[in-house]
Amino acid sequence: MTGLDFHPVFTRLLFLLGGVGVTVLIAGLAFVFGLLLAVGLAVLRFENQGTWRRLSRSYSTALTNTPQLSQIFAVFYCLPLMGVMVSPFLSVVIGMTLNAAAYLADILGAGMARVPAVYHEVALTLGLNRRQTYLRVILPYAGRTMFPALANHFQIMILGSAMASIFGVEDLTGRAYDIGSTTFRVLEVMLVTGGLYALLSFALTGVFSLFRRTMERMV
Amino acid sequence: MPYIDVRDVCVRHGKNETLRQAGFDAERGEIVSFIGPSGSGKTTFLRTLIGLQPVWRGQMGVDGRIVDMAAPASARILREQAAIVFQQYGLFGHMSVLRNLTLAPTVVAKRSRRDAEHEARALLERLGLANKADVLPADLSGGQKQRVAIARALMLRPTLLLLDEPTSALDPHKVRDVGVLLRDLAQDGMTIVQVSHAMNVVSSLSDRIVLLEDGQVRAVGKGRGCAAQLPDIAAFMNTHGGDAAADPAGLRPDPDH
Repeated sequence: MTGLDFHPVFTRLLFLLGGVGVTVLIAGLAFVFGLLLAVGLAVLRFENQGTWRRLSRSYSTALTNTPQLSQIFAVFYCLPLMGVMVSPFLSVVIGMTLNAAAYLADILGAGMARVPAVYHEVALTLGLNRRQTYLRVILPYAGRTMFPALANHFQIMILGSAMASIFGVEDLTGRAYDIGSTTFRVLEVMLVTGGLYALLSFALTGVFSLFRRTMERMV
Repeated sequence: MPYIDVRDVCVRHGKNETLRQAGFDAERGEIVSFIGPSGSGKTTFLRTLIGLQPVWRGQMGVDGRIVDMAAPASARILREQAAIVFQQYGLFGHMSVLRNLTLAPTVVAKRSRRDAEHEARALLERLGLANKADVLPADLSGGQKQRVAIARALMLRPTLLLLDEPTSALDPHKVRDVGVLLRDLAQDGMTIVQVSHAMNVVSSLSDRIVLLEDGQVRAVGKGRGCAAQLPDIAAFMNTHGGDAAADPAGLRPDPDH
């Protein structure tokens, strides 16, 4: 193994590590906004029988059955056509938000279906209004039931945010390409980058289980 | 005029009348039991009293204040005066016992958290659950869950406490504990309406017994020991695993004292 030379990568390690921050920011923003949208979509299909439920379902069907990359491309090219100028960074965040909303709505919907039916009547007889019932009872309960699935999707988003590099965003993968194209040590930089993604992912698993345990203690 | 006066309650499902002109009355601090075969409408009747079951017609008087149960706005009024303990209890699994009790007082009645928690802890202590305030419902036994559900209902300071099958999920020796608790609450002035299948408890606990059949009130017994006096009720109870004259749970106050 004489061909590998990591030195040019290590001298640029700080620059590469900066990309980790961008990656977490993209995935984090898309996850938070996606979750907010998903709550709306899930409540919409839970509360309604007809058109609204079909619309919400169709949204998830459409966005979970097409590539996320195409969706980001659509945002990237269509928003400027409509006169809205957005940065590549924002296009990626918006595209990933719309995609996340579709998946997270399905996850939350499944969680809400598992809320015991009697909770709704209990909330009603306790005098909670609909908004209070969702915010205090249904969503927290569904969120806890579905926590592993939600955390899992965030991890997928962290790894999937590498697509941002295609649009010129300097995330972890974007910076790795930069280093690769200036040093020609593509294999080395990609090995290190892969390792960084793995570390990030493991760290998140730790953070999630810590978060979960804290949440369970804070009842 | 009786303290609680429910009259002429009709419930329709399409052309089916599941409840026909049902009614009962009760004085303050009395325990009323709805009994009857399954499908007789007793749980439906109980649910009408807290606006969970829309009625076609009916009125309910509480302490002289009359509510038209068929009016769209009646549900809110009914829920202000009554609280219900469901058969499955329905304790919120993601909240501590204490939060289950303080949720409605703080979120709906806008009382301060501190004030609500103070009352909740006192109530838990009274029900023998002082050390359970901070645990999750999943860590409670069936009997404890029920006590917490009763405590949560009492936090609403209801005029009328409704219980759907309070003894169905309990061990026989726990059934007696619930009976003692309900008797205690009634003595403090709480009016209680329960649907029950446990005839031993019904006969020893009830001040009034309402026998329903086919959505109609077939017989009403008044006073302790009424179960044995009315042939319809005595017959029903004796065929449903109870002895109308017996008091095996020992809940009837001793007349010599």
